[in-house]
Amino acid sequence: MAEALAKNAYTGGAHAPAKKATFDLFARPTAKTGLVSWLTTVDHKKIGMLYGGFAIIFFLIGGLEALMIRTQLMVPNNRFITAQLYNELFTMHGTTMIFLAVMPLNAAFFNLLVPIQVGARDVAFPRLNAFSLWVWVVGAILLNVGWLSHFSDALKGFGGAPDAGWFGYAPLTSRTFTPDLSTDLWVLGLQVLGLSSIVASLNFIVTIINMRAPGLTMMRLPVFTWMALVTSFLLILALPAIAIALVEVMMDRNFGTSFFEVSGGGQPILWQHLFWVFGHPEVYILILPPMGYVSEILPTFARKPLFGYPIVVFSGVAIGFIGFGVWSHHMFTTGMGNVATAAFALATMAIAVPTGVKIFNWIGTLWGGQIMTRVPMMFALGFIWMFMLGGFSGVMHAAAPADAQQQDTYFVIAHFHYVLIGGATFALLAAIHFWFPKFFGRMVPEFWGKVSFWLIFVGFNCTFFPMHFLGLNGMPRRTWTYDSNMGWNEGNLFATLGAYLLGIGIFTYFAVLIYSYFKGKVAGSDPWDARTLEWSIPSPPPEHNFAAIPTVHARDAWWYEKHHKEEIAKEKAEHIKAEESHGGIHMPDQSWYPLFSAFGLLVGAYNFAQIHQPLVLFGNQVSASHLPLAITGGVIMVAALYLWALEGPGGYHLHLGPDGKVTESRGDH
Amino acid sequence: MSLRPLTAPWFHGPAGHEKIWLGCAILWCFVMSLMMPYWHFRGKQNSTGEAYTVKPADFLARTEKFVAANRVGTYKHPGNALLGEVPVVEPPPGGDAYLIGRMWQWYPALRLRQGETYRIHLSALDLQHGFSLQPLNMNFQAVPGYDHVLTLTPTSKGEFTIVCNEFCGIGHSSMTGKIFVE
Repeated sequence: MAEALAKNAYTGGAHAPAKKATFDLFARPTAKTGLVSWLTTVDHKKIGMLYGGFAIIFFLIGGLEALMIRTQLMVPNNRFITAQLYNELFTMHGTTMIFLAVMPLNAAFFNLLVPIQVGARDVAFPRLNAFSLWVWVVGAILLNVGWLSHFSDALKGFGGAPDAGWFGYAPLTSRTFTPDLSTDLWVLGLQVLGLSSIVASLNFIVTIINMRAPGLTMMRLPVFTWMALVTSFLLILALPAIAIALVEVMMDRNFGTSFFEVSGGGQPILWQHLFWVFGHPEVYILILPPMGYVSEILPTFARKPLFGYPIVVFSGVAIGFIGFGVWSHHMFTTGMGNVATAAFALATMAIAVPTGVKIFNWIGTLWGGQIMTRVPMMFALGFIWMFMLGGFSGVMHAAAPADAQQQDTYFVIAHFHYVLIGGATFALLAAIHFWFPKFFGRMVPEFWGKVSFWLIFVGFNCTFFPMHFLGLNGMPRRTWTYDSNMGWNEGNLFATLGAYLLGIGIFTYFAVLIYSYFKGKVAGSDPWDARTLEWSIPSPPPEHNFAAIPTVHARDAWWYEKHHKEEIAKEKAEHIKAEESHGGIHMPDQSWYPLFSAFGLLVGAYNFAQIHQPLVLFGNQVSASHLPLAITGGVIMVAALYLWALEGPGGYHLHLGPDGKVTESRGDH
Repeated sequence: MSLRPLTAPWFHGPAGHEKIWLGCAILWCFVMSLMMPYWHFRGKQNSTGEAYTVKPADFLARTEKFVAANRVGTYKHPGNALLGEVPVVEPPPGGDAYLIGRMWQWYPALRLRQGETYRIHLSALDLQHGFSLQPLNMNFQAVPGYDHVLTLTPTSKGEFTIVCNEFCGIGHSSMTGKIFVE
């Protein structure tokens, strides 16, 4: 059977007509615009935009949380917010920025770009892709629902937002010390986000390996796609560690086990190991895709191919590998002993080598280039500089004796904000600006883009540079307030003013984007004279991406096409003819089931988090526990997944007319 | 592949001053790596990371015994009523001292003699705390179930504050302790 199928696919014979063995409980949606089209979409571009939109909202929420934290720390002994609210804010600031802002923004770009850069029409599993998105939304809701308790007395039951820190060090997360529901929701929220990431990663690995256009060998892949591949592997290998750790916390909290309870023979240090064996690869999960954006943007605006492409790729892979062997540098001060400390110190220093190699390659790309300082380029150059500063303080942490002076001080905060804002966020802002014309068909005004860049650049440095000194002067992290005689007053005041400037910069940046969405100059398909395949198709891209699947002849595929127009036009005409003889361009059908199964997961997870609490509706106790509702949610999810399997792949065909018009056909062709 | 194919031979091995630079870089890596163990033994400023497992109840009992045997006074933090009174304890020179982190207090306060070497046993009773010695800014974690031993010789006199630098709940920012060196 498999052989016959494979043979059929390769000999170019028409597909056998789909058997009618499918079962549709709901009619498959076909709307191309409107709410239903967004809720049921399987189009990687729409899914990418949803990821991006939600992520930007959470990025702004996380930013507001940060501004409240900075306001509280502006002056000593401040009482702007309570200690409890402060704990909730810094916990959710970290959790939001990592899991709900930077990771989904990267996921947004994976979705928007990877299929187009590999010359495919969609990801390998389009419905699964929609499932990842909606499961991610479920995780985001579970993490943030606790904020509601601050807005209404009727919702006090949540006990506020999670307040045990994004690192959730056991046994602070045990029932004894954080009895509130918020910690249970935090545990399940992270678990659900992990599920979303693993599903999406599998999807992208299969897409990148299996769906590359003819001629697109692995060593011709754009660096961004390579980094997406490495990141996906990191996610799949790193997330099980935190999944297990979170299950253990959940068991400790709800079912009386003692994984982290010292009184029951548990080991709090086990949490640190499990958390950081996830948490450190997570750092590279956040930074590798930004390295990819920068590797795309620099060559475009330096008018040169990327310097040392294979070395950039292999460095990315090396960072991924070594990233799994450095986690205990977060634990140098726990008393691990000299041998473990030395081993992890050396591994941590070693990881600076491939990172440094990449930086040299980017500088090599700029060298001798005809540099155009457009806005994305400014952010990319800012990335190189700021990320390097963050890298330097990273090497300082790697020296274990020096780390004893830095552990859990503001020095660490300075370090990771330099790599996560100066690094990841700068690259993301560069990427948003760079690909905005592609996906919205409009340019962002240069002048206002540059204004926002300088506001962000100056504000960012004013906020975080003083923190190096605050940290070395001993200011500990996660403190609600501090005494005026500690010598931390000026640094904190300066940092807070910088944070306001940074806030204004970020606000300007997104305000300009909103303006450009409505009023920006209309962009052509290739406004930057760029190099990769996404610029070869119209802006915004049509649903089927490519009229003809491209054949890739060079690493900078689109630059090659621009210089070999006749050869490419001939090839494309043949591809279109061949595809039409197969029945046209095959497109996947939309589906309700990814959304429905995610809804089931939301109901199930939300109720499972409070499984031992009595279920109260409108003031009346309905049930002694939340078990029935948790089961209901599980049943909805499994039923939706089952119906998903029954509905079959579906699909329809697009046909290109000679005048470039696209017609649609369904059923037998 | 770039726009124009590379002309062979495209790779030239390092030569001349490139070799010198590479040599310097590698040599410097060795120097840096060797400095770490060298400074550990020569500078005597690094913790050896000595730690033992201990039950929190046992550690509390040891600390209480240590306090009862060596108590020399009491200390009350002038500005912070939350912290309450803690005994000031002076361990015998060259002996063991015990220090507990618990919500949200360092217990007891220590009085040490300049130039004497002590073994400070550090642990937490409830959840994780961070021992951060100010204004020197040396940081170590105090984890329940672990007896973290710091071998320490005070070299300057004065009053040192211990602040908690591992997040431990709502009282985290006010959790301080004292070490006096005479």
